[in-house]
Amino acid sequence: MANPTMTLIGTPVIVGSGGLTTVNFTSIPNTYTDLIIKASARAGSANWINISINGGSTTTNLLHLLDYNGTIYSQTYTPARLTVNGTTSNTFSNSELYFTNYTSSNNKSFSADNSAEANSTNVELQIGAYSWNSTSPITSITLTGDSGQTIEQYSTFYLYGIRNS
Amino acid sequence: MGVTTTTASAATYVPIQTQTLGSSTGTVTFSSIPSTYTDLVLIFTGTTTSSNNEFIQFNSDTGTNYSDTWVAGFGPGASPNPDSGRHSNATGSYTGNNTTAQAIKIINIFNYANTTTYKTAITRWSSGSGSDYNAAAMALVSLWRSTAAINSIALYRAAGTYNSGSTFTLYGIKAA
Repeated sequence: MANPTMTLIGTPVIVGSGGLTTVNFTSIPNTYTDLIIKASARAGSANWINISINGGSTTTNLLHLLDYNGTIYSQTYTPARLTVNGTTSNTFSNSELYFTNYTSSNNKSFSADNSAEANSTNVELQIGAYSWNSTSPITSITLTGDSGQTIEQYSTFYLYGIRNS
Repeated sequence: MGVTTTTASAATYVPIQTQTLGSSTGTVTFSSIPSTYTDLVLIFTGTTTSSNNEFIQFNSDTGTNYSDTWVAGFGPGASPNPDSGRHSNATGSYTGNNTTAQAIKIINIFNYANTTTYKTAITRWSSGSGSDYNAAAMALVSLWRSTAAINSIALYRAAGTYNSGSTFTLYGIKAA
């Protein structure tokens, strides 16, 4: 049998009392093929958490498809974002980000699946397509609450590496 | 009704085969897929020569036994946007287009080895660069109306080719 290929990288981020301004995954090893981030999060009144790769902020494009209050629409944003619910307290989103071939010398594509159901009028279901237009390997991923909102206690973030051999 | 739980003791996400293209081609096939897993995941990353449609086909079945339903958001300039659609009685299940920009496809194929039920799959296509139909966030559900165990998978393009350097990896998922 092949070796295990889905491996937890580093220590999971379990946000404690007082929250966090940013969640940083740094010094990501280059020994995997793909990366996955699984998150359960909220950030105060913010409706999204911004995603930064290698400290950059302007070279990521996001295309996403949303169902917002029952209306489906498509829109592009920069920077990339992870949808959360900023209305109903004690309600955390479910998100998965998938980065393929993150050490390659090509531009990096990644996808996101997000749900933020909250029994309110401010609800989003998102599938996202992203491109980080850089030939550098991804070595860090930073998540920041929009508009300075703090990522709240009980939010969780897990980074996994996938090996194809 | 009771619920039975088990404790996993071995690797559950296992690479079966990776194909990195050394030259362009219009079809990529995984054959002799073992039946020892519960589900399959096929990951594509790469580029293509054009934005023509792509399809998935199982066990070399070219009959009209496939259908799919999709929803997508496209890049600026596309119309209508968002959009949705379906194909019925097709000779392969649609998996989106892919373009000259780097793209991802994540295809989850469920309970592929059983010989009792038809086979279903969920596909996510992501291409975040470009405009019109060159950029897309798409989700698809697919059905292959066959009770045969899946032992081969082909991804192919209606026209054009996958470019050299594109990578396809097939993983097996074990429930226990």
